[in-house]
Amino acid sequence: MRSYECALIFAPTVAEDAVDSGARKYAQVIADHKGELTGVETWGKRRMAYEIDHHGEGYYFFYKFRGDAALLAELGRQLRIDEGIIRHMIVRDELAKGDEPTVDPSQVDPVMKKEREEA
Amino acid sequence: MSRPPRKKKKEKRPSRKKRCYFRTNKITHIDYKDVKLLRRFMTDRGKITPRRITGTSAKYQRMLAIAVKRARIMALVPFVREYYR
Repeated sequence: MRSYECALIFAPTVAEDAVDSGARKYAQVIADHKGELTGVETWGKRRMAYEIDHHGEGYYFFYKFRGDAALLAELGRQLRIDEGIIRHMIVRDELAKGDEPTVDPSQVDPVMKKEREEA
Repeated sequence: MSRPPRKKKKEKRPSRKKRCYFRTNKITHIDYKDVKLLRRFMTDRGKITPRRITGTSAKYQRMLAIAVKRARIMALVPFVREYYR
């Protein structure tokens, strides 16, 4: 298994609850396809450097995980289908050593909410 | 045998050796999410600044270019700055 990082942007028109559940959904997708989630990062709503589909801002999420090619294909497929996601990118995580502890996908939600309250 | 006197050197600019930012700061990996860092190596129009200006070593310029391109895809930095005031 290789380590990857997945970045995705939700459209600003998506309700915050839906963003939360969406973010949790993809964490679950990783877990469901024999992947190991090692970290989730959120930047919340952020102004984008240029407009994407006439949206000036978006909700940023970053996942770090380990997985096989089958997972990448499936994750990419689902991200492309999701109308709420205006951009995504999966790249190799070159810094990962491959022994980072895994994160429970169901734990993703409170982390995001906490960060949003701080911001 | 003495050497012939050297020709007068053409006006020589004071040499200020540029140091690679990444080498001096011991940065081994350039993350595309580090917008602040990437911006330092971009013109205000959004282009990647050439090596001859920044003094970045070839190795890190390559890494930088990849990071900037990734950041562009995720709309963290612009491809071009459309409105120039």
